[in-house]
Amino acid sequence: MTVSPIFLGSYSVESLRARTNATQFTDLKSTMTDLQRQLATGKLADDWAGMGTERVTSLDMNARVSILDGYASNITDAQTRLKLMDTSLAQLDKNRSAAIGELSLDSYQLRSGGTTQGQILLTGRFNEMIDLLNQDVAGRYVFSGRATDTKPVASADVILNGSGSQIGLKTAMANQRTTDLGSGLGGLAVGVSGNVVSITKPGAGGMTVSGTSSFDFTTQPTEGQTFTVKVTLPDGTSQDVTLAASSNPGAGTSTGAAFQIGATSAQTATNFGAAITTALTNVANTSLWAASGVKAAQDFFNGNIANSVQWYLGDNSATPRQTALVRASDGAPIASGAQANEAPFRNLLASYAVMAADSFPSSNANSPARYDAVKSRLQTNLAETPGARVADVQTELALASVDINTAKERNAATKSVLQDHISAIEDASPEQIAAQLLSLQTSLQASYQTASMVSKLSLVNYLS
Amino acid sequence: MSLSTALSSALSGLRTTQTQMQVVSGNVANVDTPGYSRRSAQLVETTGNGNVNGVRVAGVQRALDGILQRELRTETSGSGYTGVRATYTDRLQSLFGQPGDASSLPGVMSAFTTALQDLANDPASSTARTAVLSRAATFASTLNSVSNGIQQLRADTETAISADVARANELLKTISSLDQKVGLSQGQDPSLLDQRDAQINELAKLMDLNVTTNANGTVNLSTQGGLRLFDPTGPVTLAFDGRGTMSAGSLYSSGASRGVGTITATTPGGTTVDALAQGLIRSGEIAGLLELRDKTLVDAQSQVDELAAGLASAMGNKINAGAAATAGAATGFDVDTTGIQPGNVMTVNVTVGGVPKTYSFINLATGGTLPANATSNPNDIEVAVDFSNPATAAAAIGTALGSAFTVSNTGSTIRILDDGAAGTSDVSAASASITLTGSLQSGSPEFALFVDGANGQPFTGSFANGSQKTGLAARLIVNPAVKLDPNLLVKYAATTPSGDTTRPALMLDRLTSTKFTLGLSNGSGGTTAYTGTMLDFSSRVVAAQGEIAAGAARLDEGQKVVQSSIESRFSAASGVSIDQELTNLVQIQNAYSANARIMSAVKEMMDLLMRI
Repeated sequence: MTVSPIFLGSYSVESLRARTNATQFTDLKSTMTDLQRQLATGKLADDWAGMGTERVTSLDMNARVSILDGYASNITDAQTRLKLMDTSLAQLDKNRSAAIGELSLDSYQLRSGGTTQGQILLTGRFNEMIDLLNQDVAGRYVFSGRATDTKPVASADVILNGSGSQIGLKTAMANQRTTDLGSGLGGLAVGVSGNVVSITKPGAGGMTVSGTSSFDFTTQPTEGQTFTVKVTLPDGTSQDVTLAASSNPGAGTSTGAAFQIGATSAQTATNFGAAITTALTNVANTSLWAASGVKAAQDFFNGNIANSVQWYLGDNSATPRQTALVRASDGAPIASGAQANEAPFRNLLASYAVMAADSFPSSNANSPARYDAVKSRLQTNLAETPGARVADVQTELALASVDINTAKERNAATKSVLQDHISAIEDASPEQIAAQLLSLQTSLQASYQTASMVSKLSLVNYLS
Repeated sequence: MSLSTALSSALSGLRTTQTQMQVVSGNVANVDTPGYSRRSAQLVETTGNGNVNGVRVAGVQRALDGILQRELRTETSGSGYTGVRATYTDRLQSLFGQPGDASSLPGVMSAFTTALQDLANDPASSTARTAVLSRAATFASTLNSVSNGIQQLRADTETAISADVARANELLKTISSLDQKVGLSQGQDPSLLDQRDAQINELAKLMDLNVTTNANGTVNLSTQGGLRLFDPTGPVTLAFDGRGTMSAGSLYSSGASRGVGTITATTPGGTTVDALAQGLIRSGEIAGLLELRDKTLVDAQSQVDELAAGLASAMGNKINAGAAATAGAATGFDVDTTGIQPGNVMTVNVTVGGVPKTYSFINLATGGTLPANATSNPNDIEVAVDFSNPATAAAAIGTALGSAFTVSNTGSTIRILDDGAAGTSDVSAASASITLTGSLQSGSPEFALFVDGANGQPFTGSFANGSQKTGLAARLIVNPAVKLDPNLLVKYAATTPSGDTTRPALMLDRLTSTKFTLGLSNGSGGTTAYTGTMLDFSSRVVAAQGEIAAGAARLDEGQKVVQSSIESRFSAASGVSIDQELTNLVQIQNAYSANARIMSAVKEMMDLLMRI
């Protein structure tokens, strides 16, 4: 408690007393006002000076708390995103395994729209997959990598039919088929020279022979002896074309699966040549057709088709997880990105799209066989290869989610410790203030009383 | 002794009691007059032929303790000094806002950090981008207003000094005229003395005083520092050439380039002295104001400038860490200095004979001179180097480092090697901090988010026209190009995807986790090196101002106690006490009655005698 000085030198004892009292009352009153402020605001000080020597600690900790709040907001955001991605991926995987089952039960039978049951189902899956990959959380596309403001996948119509001068999947498949078919045998040619039948590949086309390509009939085949030509197709599948030697190929064995043992070796070779030509033509019209379509779809979604439409418009990072880095704590950011052009998604899209793009009209006698060939390929492809599964992406994101949750708990613990400390520095305890106010009240009352008593004690009042 | 003598003696008694009565009533009447010292009538006996024949009033004197008066004046000067410091430093700290308030500097800094966190989380979000720009602008404008506030406070001190000097001149004139009268009355008139002393006391509040009293009661005044203020030849005339406006660059210097006012004293003889140049005023309100204007507030400005410069550089400077280099047994670093801007610094840490040293090579390509402590690090050795020619730069660096090091260059890359096998010297680190001034999409994540509003260009720390850092806090703005195109907050190259976190993450890291060495004012004119994040540094800047204000307030509080106690003691010795005066009154009444009684006794005796 201080008496404000007046700086002018001496003053009377009476005015000294009056001023002492006045200052005391003012000081007590202002202390009281400050305590009331503390009670109202809950804070000990309302300026930096008043915060005391721990002001740096308090400032630093408040800054830390603000950063932790920032992390918390990042975490909330990331959790929403990851949850949605997880749901989408689960749905994709569910659809995938369902599709395998559906295809295995399906057979070539055209519905009213001229499409098969399998086509209808897979076209549906295709559209749904595009929708799932194009999902956004508050305007942020989650399967676009760092291009979060770009819808990652083009529409089904654009993908299938192209846009402007850029070709779509349908054209790409047709082109591939034309190229692969070559002159009719997928680029292969069957030549008979004396006793020897050679299958060569003089032209362009989608079939190649692996293994034996030359058959010598100098020694006449025995009844039932088989000869196999192993044909590799553009999608990497291979098919064995097996012909059995027969003295009477019309009976017992199906047409095209046998050839007539001739009178001479040269005769037999000619017969084999004709039969294998027929068999390979059949393969070219069915299996090659299917394989070319699948290959074209894979190439399309891998971006390997010249002048095709861009089906994927998002970020093209080699490390899709790194495209969304969640800062959930001071540690390394947690990778939680994904891109619609990751291998598992490309595989699924390509598989579904083949069915959506193709048609199997009843007017074409090859349609049932083609349909089966396509179906079996899709069943294999939909089964996924290890390391490129949708579930793998899902697992990686789930791990990120776990990391984020751990960070969240750690942050919450840190924040609570910090807030306790801040509170100890900054906050006024209501109990303490109440006690201080009470004692202040007492001393103020006492001061008033004393002042009033002392003011009466002057000789002036006692002289008459 | 005859009856007539008794009568005249009683009469003198009545006369003196009347005078005493007058003194008492004067004392009582002036009970509330500040500066009034208690008077008392000095009585002396009158004698004739060895006999007492009456009493007379020798004079009216004031009760005064000379030592207490001197102490009182010293403490009054001290109170003037601490009072003005407490007031101004409190206003200074309030410029930074209230604790916990969103508009306070720490609050604004936090909001900026949070906005950057949001942007790093979702860089493509236009909301997050807008928020970063708006928070950055708030931060810049808060620094602007703090800086302007500091300069306004300096302008206020200038005005206050001007007013104080004017008041001091008035007081000196009054003191002069009163002192002449005191001289004429030979120092016998207590009211003249009281009036003069009250003026001197008031002057003591403005500046420290040394008062010497002459034989005839007149005084000589000077400051403790030796500035003569008043002597019998007359008072000096003080003058202050205050400046109307104030900027960070307006500083005191004894030369012609002085940016603030100075106090001159002109003697009656016409000699003029610059009181500031020689530090002649050391206490009182004026000294307090001068210290605020030239030290405390300048320090505060340099702190916010340091913060502004630190932040601008943190966002806009690419740090080229040296690549390890060897040549035979010698090891060292290659530092790429391509694109080094005027004011940019190449830092080299070396150890020579076991003593670590930090060299800062500052690019003075566009000329200018290097002031003392040009960099933020107060402990480094600063060398001006013109990097425009790398070969000459390498030579200059070599000269500065000494023969224990070999410095060469390949293009703009400068190689610094130690002495190899001899092992007496070592290069422990080398780097260059280079401001990127070109395209904001150069492919570097660093970019000029903040620019110097004076020219709209990135802050490089140039010394071409004085230090660019000085007053930067007042000029810092968000780069208008970024404001126009918020994409630049993310797209550090033309092809950067809009969701790329590289640039937002860099901004965030440079604010919250990258450590910089910055100069932190210790509140008493010195600077210490502070190594920490920009966020921590901003807290420290605010805390330092809080500490200065708290310190000034404590000092002032203490000084008030001292002042009050000395005033109380002085008043006890010199002040009027009604009780004492009334006691005197009773005594005087009695004396009057007694004297009157004697007169009536003499009359009775005379009557008796006449009746005979």
